[in-house]
Amino acid sequence: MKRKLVTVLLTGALFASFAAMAQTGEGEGSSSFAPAMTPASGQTPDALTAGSAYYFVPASAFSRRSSIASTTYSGGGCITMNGPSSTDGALATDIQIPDGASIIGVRYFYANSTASNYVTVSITSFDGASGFNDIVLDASPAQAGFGDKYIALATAEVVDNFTKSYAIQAYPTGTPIFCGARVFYSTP
Amino acid sequence: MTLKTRALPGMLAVLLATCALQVQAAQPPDAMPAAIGHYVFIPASTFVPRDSSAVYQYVGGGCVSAPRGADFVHKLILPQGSVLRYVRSYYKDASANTLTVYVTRYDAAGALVDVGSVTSADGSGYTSGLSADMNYTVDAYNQAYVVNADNVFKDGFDGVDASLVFCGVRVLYDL
Repeated sequence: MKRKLVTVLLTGALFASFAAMAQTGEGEGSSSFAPAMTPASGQTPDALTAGSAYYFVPASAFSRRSSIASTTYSGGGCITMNGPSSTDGALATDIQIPDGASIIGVRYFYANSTASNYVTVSITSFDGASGFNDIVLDASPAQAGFGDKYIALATAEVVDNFTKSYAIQAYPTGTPIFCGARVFYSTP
Repeated sequence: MTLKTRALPGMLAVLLATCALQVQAAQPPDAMPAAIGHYVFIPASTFVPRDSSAVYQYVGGGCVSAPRGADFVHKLILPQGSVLRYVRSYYKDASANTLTVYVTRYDAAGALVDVGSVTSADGSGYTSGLSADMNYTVDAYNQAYVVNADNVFKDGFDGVDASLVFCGVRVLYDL
């Protein structure tokens, strides 16, 4: 009973933190954001199979969304994100994958993530008229050294390059090290 | 009654054909041609400033603005032999100044040619503008290609309510 109560409280706290993140502009703050599906344990959900492909971008190839964003190259394609801890400190790179492909998930790579030092990664679509949608949004877990995390989309996003542009975005809290992201998609 | 029933399929066909023609006529020139057309749609937030001294700000929705003017660039990687057709620029221009987007090719020895361009028009809301048909065959062996967004944000910067905002480009090419 006690364990159930703890689980419920932790789940609530998790959703509350996502909600707070959206309200404070940590991500794009889309109301249509849905929590990601958790992959089945023991599997590599983004293993390459026939009909699937990757779009892999190192952090050093991302661009700064604002000129006040401060970064330092950390080696190995990784970037120390020096802030500010807001959307102004964000990095972004465009996603160019074929029309009709389905984005299934994203694995992102980071280092030295802690409770107060982490990177939040999103895949976001834009309509060119200031509209946007965070297709997926996730914060790196506390982990010393290098780590990676795969997030599956709750619903696969069918790519529509006529009406939308797509980007991978990374937002710092504190001064995390971000190493890049790999989008997993099925080919049309 | 019989005549009317027999005539109906013919009339329906004419009606459908007319509708199809009207839909075709209403399509923009950069609507994707069946089977051969492809889009590269790039949000402005993933462009990079050409000078490290550029001051610019993210204004949301993939859009950026700058207080004192800045030039932005993004690489354009297209298949060898593909044909560049149109570039569409997405922006808000409530300013006296203009945003001009160019598709430019370089020979990596200092020479450049603007293959196509589109300049913003004044207005109060978010909109888009289309270039002329570039009809240019890509030569990725001899030329590097980019999209430049040039000399655009010379005034009107007031935080997130900037009057001249760049939101991205969409390039149509044929294979």
